[in-house]
Amino acid sequence: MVAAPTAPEIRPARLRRITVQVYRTYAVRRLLKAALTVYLVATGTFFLVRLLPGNPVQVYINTQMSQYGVSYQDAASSAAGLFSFDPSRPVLEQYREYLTGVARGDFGQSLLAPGTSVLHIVFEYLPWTVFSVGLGVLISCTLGSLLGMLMAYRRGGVLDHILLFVGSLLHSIPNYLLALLVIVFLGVRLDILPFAEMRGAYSPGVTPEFSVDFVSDAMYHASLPITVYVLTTIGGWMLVMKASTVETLGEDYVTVARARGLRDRRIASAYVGRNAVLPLFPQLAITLGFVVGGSILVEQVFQYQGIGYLLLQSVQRRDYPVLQGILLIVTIAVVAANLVSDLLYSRLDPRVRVEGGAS
Amino acid sequence: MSDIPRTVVSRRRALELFGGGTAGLAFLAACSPSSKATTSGSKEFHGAWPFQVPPKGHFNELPGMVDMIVGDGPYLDLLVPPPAMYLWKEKKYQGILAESWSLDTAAKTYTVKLKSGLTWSDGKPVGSKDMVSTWWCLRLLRNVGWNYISTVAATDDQTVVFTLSNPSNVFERYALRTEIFSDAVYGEWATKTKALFDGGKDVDSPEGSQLNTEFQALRPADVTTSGPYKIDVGSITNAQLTLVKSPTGYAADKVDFDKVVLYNGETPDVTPLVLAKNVDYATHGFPPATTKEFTAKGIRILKPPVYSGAALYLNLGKLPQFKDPKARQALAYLLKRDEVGQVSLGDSGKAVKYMAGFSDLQVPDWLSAADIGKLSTYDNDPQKAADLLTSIGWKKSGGGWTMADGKPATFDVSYHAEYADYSATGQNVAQQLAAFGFKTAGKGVTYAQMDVDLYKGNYQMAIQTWGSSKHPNPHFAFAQPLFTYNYPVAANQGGRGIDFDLKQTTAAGTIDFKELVDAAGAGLDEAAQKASVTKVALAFNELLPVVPLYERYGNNPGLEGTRVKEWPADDDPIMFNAPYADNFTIMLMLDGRLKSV
Repeated sequence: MVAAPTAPEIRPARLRRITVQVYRTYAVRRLLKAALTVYLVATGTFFLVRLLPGNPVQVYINTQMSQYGVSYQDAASSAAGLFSFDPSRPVLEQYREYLTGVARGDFGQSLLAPGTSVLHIVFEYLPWTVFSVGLGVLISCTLGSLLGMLMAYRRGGVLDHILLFVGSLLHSIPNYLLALLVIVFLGVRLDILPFAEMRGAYSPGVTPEFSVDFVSDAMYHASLPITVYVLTTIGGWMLVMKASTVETLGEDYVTVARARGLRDRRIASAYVGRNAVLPLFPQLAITLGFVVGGSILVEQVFQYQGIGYLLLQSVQRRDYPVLQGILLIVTIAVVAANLVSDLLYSRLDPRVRVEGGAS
Repeated sequence: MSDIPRTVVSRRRALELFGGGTAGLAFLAACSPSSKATTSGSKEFHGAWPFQVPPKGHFNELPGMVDMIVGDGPYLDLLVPPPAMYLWKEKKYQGILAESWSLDTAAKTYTVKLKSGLTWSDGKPVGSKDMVSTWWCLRLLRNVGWNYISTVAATDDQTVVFTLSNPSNVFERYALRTEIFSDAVYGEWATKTKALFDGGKDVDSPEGSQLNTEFQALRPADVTTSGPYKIDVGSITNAQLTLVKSPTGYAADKVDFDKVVLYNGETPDVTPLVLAKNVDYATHGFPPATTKEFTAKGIRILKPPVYSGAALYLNLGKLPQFKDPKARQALAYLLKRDEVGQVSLGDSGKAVKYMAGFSDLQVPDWLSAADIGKLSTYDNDPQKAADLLTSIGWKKSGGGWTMADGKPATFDVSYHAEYADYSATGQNVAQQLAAFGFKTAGKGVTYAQMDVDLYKGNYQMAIQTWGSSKHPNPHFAFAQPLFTYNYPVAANQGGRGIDFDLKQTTAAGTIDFKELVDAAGAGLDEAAQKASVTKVALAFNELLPVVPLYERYGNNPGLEGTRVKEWPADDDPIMFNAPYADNFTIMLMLDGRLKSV
């Protein structure tokens, strides 16, 4: 006869079992990993921005002196009256304060625009980048896939060679360089592009609103950055899609479909295209994750009011809270998107959930 | 089922075509600007200046704030003009909002009387109350002007009296050149600040700090203006903004442009706009190659003096071999200053002649002809340089030099990597020194790190600014190398800068630079100031704490015949105004001299 275990002996074991069970739940594991990623990025960002040479006060003083001829005395006095930032405060104290704020959803205030919250600033800029880069990536991916398929079907032909050359050429040009070339040649040399009018995210005198007129105006201003994003990325999509299509064309089920007498058009759309496009999806997810990094210089060249433009300005002026806020918010967005896609994918394919532990 | 007749275009295909067509048409229609967009007018002036848009950019435009829209550039003077602006050639102030101004040396007061009959854009009269409120708010922002005064008060509706606590005629510039802001916006804050100081507290007290924080968060909905223009708030985008006429403002009847469009951006962003002739005037620092492109396009380059330039800074802490003035003099003799200037800024980089520590243009105003005759101009003479070095024990063997301690003369010349002019300067200086026989290399350092290094002394030789483009008094020009980038100020950053001892011996005897430079900007006696300036200039010329290379002149594109009729000739007195201090274009507009086509 086995003596009944006493309550204090059972509870820890059961608790441990429940904990292990909860941890083995796919959703919980994914959530914990996402939270850890965000924490690591928040910490890394905090310390990395402080490793940049100069702090906001020094950069302000030196900018006033070097660009506007202000005396050191005047600049230092202004800085003293202006900045609540104290570079001599212990970094760990600043770190603790920052993490506490982030946990509460408070990303702080801009050092250079006191009283203005970082979230307010970031959400004024972020939608423009999501709009322009998002649209650019979608157009590029769609067009690139179609052209890639065409290249695969016409491989070895004149069209394939031309598209291969154009695609490789465009893929090798950095986007900011193409943006400059567009302005210099089409805007200045040939004078066929009213780029002074096209700068910015919308026209002066126009109020952002949900109307056809405003969307039309926003499209007009976004057309240059979008064109640059499309032209500089389409080559990659074309080449990947071509390779994938060529591989798919050699599959048995394509041969069988042909043997069954199916029309080429149907084989291309229902058999080849659908399967060949699959490898492009992970790449699309990765591309969208780099929305901010890819837009920095293009937005600067076109004076487009996006998050990349804001990020560059914040780096140059050492506006630590804005810099941290942008990087963290973008990280949270990417991590959240990945989390949602993982969770959805786990519903579609249960094998994902089972792998590594019980669901 | 197989009997069902197949249509030429299936329903699915028709829907696809319809959808695709609609999307295509929508996309085509989308590529057009809004009908509500602000349109161009016939009498527009197009300028350029970097600014932030809301929510970062704001209208709390007091000097000392940051991210003000328009606030830190010359165009602010079109919105809220100062009492007076300085005419650098004539060396006198021109009244703008002020009718008269005077210094009472006996009473130690400075009085400014504002013109009557001027109104703000909100309809209220411009008066002494506005100026007093502005100055109290400036005290909250630790404005340097308050170092010279103990209080400010209105004696009637138009008269303001400053009581001088630290009498200096340098204060005149702060009093006359600081823009006046509306009491209707800032009066409440001025009252709070005055009460703070009357209560024996200052900005460092918890109450003062709190008030300062609250003031910085002040975000007026617009700028209440007294000048000829006001900001069209609806026109602000990340790309540009428009100033429109304020009919009741000062000189509104004189300015010849209905609108001023300001394009947002730094030099690279603005360059294509200038090339495409969208910009009439820009104060940005364009490199020589760009300036040539402007000229080729028929754009005139205006070259106003900036009263400052680039110098070779030597870190005497790391290069004790240059503590002997003869070694520094040798550098002055061997460097072709005209070549450095030409390489760096084209025709806008003019070799320094007098090597007096402040602008050559101002030397005749402060030094007598006899004293100017004592200044060595260090004309290029490599042989003299070699003789000077040999006289202090340096030796040339083979193609290279060894210093007095027997070590090879090997130096780095650091410069701001991102600044096109200073990069060219640093590289050219390094090449010239190498050609002379020193093992020298240019070293580009990112701008933020470079400034830190200059204070901390993390360099051997470096390119940095000398002179002062904001204040006409040479005190400010001397202070740049001797105080700011030397141990008095560099100590704040934990370094010693050039580490140049301020107590030195010259041919005329011992000299205390600290004492004399302070005296050059102190007191109300201009003759005494001139005596101090002369002593510092002669000592600077002999000892060369830094080696001035060239004096920078603006390379401001001035487009004529498109929207602006023309700018005055280069020798017109107004064209000697420093563009970052008392901008000539702004003064020409206020005077009605700058005409539209």
